[in-house]
Amino acid sequence: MGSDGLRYALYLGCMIANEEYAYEMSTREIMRELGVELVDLEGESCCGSPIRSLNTRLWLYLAARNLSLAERTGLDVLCLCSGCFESLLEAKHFLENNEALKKWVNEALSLEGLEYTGRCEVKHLVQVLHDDLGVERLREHVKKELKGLKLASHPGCHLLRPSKVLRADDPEDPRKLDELIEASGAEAIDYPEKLDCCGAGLLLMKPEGTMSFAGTKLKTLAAREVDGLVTVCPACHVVFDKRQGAISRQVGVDKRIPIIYYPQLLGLAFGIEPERLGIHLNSSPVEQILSKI
Amino acid sequence: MGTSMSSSLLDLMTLKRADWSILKEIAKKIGEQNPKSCFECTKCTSGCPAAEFLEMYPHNIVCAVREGLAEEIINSDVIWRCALCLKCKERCPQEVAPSDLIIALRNIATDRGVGVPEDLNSVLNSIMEIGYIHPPMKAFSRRLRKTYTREELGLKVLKGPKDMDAFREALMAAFEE
Repeated sequence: MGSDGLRYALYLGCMIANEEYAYEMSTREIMRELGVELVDLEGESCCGSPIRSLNTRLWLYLAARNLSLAERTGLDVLCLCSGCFESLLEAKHFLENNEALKKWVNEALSLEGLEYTGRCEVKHLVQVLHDDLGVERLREHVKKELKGLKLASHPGCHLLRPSKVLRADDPEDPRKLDELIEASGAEAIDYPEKLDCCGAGLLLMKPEGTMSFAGTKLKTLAAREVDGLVTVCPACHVVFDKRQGAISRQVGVDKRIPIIYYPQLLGLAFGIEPERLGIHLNSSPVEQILSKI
Repeated sequence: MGTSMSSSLLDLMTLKRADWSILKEIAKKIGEQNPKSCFECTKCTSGCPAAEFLEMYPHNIVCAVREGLAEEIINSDVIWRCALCLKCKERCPQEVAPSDLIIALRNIATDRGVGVPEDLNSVLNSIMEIGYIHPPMKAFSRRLRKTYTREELGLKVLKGPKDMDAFREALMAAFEE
């Protein structure tokens, strides 16, 4: 079961590089199993997304800088963080339509001996697994079907919008993450709050807004009696997993919901040791998932 | 709150006259989107998850800017209450993208040094310092009561930009126009 030599330049971004290690660990594990080669982007930095609000040129420079590092590898970029994915692709789109800013970006990049042309493709983990590898290929590696698990997917905002630029999935009725969940043998429920935002974008400005967004979603998930919520972005994951206790207390929800990164889930179905997938680093009660499989 | 400002050419709160010169500054920040094409269908507002925290709904912000009354909004904290979920940008039939307009107004507020949330400034300082929004943190296992570095989890130690001086110089250049 070869992978036809699939290779990607792995872009981590701030949150995965510096705090959400389980997402990187589990991605590396499933890619090894699938025979996909990941090339590290030496010297990578922030994608610019968090400071786009402060200065558009600063954002464009940082995004183009990481893309220019990827261009040197000649490979497509694989993003695990949806915030980085949206930031890199929107910057690429912006620079395609603005020669003057592209010229300025290249002047700034020349200080580090870098050059941005815009030739490399940017893909999210969901696209690589669903579109490049395909659900059938994933199924071939499943050793332990996760039958009986009822899970909700959280595709998150920046995997989907703006769809004209990202082209990752249907922006109003995304199905890819659900199909990926089903490849593990688990059931992916359809639920009306699937598109609801986690509120991570307000963490640095109005954290009580984040509490309210995430609290509403956790409340509805508790009522729907799911066995867990599946994430594909470290920002969404941190809100629902690390901050779940505080958020649930605030909105008066007693039930705690297991939050699991998609590659952690797939890794369990592949029969990989939970510790190698960083399961012990999740703060939510993921042992509930382990005990059901 | 919630009323249309499209017909007013004078801000009744401050008696300030309309000023359209800012539209050029906005266009420079965000490109082609034009608040003038908004016909107030309120699709942006109806899907906005932050609407409950906003003193002005997304379509009101677009209308106010279109009518030349951007100054009050730049100085108000309403622009810092958007989560950038981008539903409004996705759904706007006129491709106005209220979220992009909000980013442009935040950029202008930053240029003028008004109302920038402190945490955003700290993030900028950290990027200047190490290239990332914050230094590596230890991961904590609630179950095992243990903390781990990247290395202890078998992950590579990351070094960030090789030439920090050149990196910082480029970042500084972004602020010079």
